[in-house]
Amino acid sequence: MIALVDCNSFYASCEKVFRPDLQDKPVVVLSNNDGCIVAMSKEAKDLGIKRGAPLFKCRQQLKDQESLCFSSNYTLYQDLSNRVMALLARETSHIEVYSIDEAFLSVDSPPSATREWGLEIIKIISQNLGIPVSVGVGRSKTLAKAAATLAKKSPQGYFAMLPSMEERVLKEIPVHKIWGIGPSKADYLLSRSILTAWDLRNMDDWDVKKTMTLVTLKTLWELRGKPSIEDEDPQTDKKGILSSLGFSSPIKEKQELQRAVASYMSRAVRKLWSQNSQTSNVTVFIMTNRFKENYYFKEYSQRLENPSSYLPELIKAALNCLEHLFIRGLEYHKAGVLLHGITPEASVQLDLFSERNNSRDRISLVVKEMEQRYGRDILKPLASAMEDRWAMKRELLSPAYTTCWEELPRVY
Amino acid sequence: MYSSFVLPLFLEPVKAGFPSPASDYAEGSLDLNEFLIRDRVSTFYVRVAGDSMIGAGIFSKDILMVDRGLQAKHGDIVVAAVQGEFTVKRIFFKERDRVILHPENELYPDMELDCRDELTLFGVVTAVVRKLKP
Repeated sequence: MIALVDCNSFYASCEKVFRPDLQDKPVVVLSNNDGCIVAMSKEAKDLGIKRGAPLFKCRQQLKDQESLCFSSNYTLYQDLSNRVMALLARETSHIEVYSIDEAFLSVDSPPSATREWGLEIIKIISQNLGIPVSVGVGRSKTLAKAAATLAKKSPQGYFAMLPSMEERVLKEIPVHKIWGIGPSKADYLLSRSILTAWDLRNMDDWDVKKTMTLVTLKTLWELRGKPSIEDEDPQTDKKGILSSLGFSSPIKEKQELQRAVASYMSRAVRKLWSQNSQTSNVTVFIMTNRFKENYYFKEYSQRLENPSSYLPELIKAALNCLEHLFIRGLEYHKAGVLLHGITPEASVQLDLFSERNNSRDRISLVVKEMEQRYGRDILKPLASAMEDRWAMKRELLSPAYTTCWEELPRVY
Repeated sequence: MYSSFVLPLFLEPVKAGFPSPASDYAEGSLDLNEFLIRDRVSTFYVRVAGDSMIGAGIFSKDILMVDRGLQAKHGDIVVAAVQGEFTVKRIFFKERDRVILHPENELYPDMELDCRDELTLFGVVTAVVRKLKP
């Protein structure tokens, strides 16, 4: 069995962890550049506020309810996400971190103990981090995903779709609600009177393969309880460092994508620093939702002249890769940075300009120290800082509670 | 937190006179994170504002290490949310879900609360960090 653990209203939940005054208040989180709502708490959902709505449309409504708007604080969300995933990894033999707020876990416990295991996970994440999660269990990822949707509606946040329940449950799920069935596929299926997940499950393999795509065929197998969708991250060689995550809502703007890639690179470089090593290759990949029409996945690699662990240089390389990948008009779902050709710092040949390298090392050290003292954004490569048109929205940004000594939560 | 300071620990006593052949080998290292933190994943840092806990050696501007993974016990120092604000106090459990939050400073009164609806425990304070030089 496979479990999907999904953080409830993740960004909004993160904002609440260090704000006890907001516990039962509506909270919404905005995208950084266009002022649209990308996430909201349960209380905000109950007000009828919709994801993707521009802030100005619901400003008055939010004001009346004493609710709070936040600008996306990715530093905070990423730190809490890392902690969630670290705790989850302790509860399973295999974890696939699917996005910043979701992970697939293989269920190792016997069927009779699965419920207990799922409820224990909910309790652990809630107690240790204050983040509410729900757990859906099924025989495949697609079934686990469907179960997780039902789990969100159950009071305990847990739902297992046992094989014996599949028929009853799948007959209740409209076809467009299935993971991987986008609007146009759903329209096509509806036109053929395939209305529910159960109808799709019972379609003929050849029919699906002929009239739709292999991806849909896999979805069909998954609905039958046969795991067919493999892990999403590209295979990395053992010496590689991968930093990649799905976005919680799709990104269209190049600028936003650049910021994501730069931040993934910062994470990867931190790993590099912690291993005292350098990298000689940078690969960046971006992808759209693979279940949607015109699925786009592309990666681009750049070899560095000299192995490096110098953040600005590596960010520059990553952004250069992105130039070769980005196509306007697509909705990107995931991006990642891969460092490979990693060597220990000591074994890197010193070139004639080793003096320059020394000054770079010193810069890296200063950056590390400044960031810990004053926060991630105190120093940044000029290129990305110049493009920071969203700086004026900073009044909505919550502190980097967990990653900056100057911004720790206060206790009285 | 990516920088950890590692101090070598020498088990060989220092002898005057001729050097011990073993003194070239450091036997291990001391890592303050390892000493202070039970579990990094559930440990958060907070900054103290105010003097309500000076009797327990907790001063304004100190950094507290707070472990959310620990179950608070009678007499522990905890961080709790009361009326929408985080507070650090010593906790005493009384009968029927009543708790007392006790400041370690005579100038402040005890607070008696219902732990079901008037307070939410954030975590147990496990260490105080105070730098003596900037």
